[in-house]
Amino acid sequence: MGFAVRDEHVDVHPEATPGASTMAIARAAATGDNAATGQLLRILAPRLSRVVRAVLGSHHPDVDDAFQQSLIGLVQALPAFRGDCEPIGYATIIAVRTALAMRKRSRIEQSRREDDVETDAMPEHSLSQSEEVAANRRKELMRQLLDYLPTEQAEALAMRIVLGWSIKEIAAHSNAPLNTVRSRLRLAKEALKSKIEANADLVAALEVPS
Amino acid sequence: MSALRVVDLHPEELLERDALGELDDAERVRLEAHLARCATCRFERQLRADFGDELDAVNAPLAPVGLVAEVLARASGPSLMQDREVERDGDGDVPVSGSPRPSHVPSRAGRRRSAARALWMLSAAALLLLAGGAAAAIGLGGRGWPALLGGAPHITDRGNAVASNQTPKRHLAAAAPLAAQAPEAPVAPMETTQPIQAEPGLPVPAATHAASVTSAEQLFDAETTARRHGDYARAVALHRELSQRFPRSRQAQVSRATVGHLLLERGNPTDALENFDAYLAAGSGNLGEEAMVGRATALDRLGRTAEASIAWRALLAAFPDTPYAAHAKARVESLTGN
Repeated sequence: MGFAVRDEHVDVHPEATPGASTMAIARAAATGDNAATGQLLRILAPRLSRVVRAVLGSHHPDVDDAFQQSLIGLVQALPAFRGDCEPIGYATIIAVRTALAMRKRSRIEQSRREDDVETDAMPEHSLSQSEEVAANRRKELMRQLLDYLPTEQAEALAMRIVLGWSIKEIAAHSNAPLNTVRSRLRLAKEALKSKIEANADLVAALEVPS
Repeated sequence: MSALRVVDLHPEELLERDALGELDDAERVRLEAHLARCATCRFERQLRADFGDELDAVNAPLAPVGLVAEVLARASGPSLMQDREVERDGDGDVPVSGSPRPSHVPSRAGRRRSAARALWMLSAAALLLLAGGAAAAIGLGGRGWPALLGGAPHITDRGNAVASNQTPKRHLAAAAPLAAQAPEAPVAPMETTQPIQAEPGLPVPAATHAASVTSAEQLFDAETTARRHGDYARAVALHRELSQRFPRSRQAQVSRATVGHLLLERGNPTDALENFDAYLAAGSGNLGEEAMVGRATALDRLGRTAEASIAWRALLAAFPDTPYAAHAKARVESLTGN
């Protein structure tokens, strides 16, 4: 278990030791056990924070709000938790949905304020920057795509690419048939393809030789 | 072996197996052949690696130390509950914060509302468990947190706790002698959901907001709103009013922990410490672990190293499995030079 204090933030990584105990805690929390609820939040918070930041982007102005809303959403969804899936997966879905909704709202508000600004324009940087910068730009391209996809497709694509889940895992966690998930992903990847083609030079510059 | 089907535009299963390092030679040849002509899948594979690195990173900034207190407080608020139940995402078709259960799961809105109320009501039971476990761990019998910090509330015949000191300023260094005189474990006051009137004999501070705010719940909601809007001065002022007018309310108790962390984050460890001490001394609520972490951190920042070391040790004794254990042990070692 790692732990570090930087500035005002505390890092804990209890997800390194989850397993059956986390399930037991989640079940207790689902019954309304307040102590278990607090414990569950402490266990899951680090992972959910990363998920929210991955979907929103670390520098998104709403990242802290989205993280907190995710935890609140988890607390409020706990009574429906029946223990037939891993608590981290259950919580992750809530975090993904919250972050996606936050991105969409933010994008809509921004478009209202800045009608003349092309919202999916990529920031101008030299293409010869470090791999970390390239990775950040690839991820931002992906996040921008999520803003414009229909919710179910955005959700499926985020689970697939951001979380790295398999199609079966996405189907299980979103309670959708496998073929439905395949269909959503296929449509989402068509949109991704269009996005890539629209930014062909940039994507080519960001590509890492395999 | 996964087969690439005609209907698949992209070899999703191969990409999955590639990410897991499970491809055999034949599959790898097929995948590479596809990747050579499919920029989308190449980009996806790179993105999965990018996000995988981010999610697996150990140094990402994470939860503020007072977040659990904040979330429990906010998730318990009835107004928030109502908001969240009707909240929809931008497309209006998927609940944002609701259960990830599918639509075939019966609505449990009523159950959630009950659960929200139960969060408060169960605080008393949780307190007893926490206090009992902590007391056992540190050898204080059934005395719990108030005994640990001294100045435990007096228990009336009706089971209501009466603060023995309205403005507690207690320090862990004084815990041992005070603990020896401490009464039995306090019983957390069971408060109603009805508006709570100001208690007689207590000074009411100058109005910091509309005079129509008459209940602890309203004050707490106003304080939370101020905090959420970044109006920290107003949040602290409302907290003080709440604590003075309704010192025994659950809302005031939660507020001590959340405002303690707020003050800590705003660079005021002195007042933060006072709030954490008050929270722990009151002996109710479910945020003892958070309050102890906040208290030890405040002492750390005040340079009160001996007390900080004791505070971190007390946390470890009370909550051996706390997620903050590694940090607490490191601080003890650093502070004591061991």
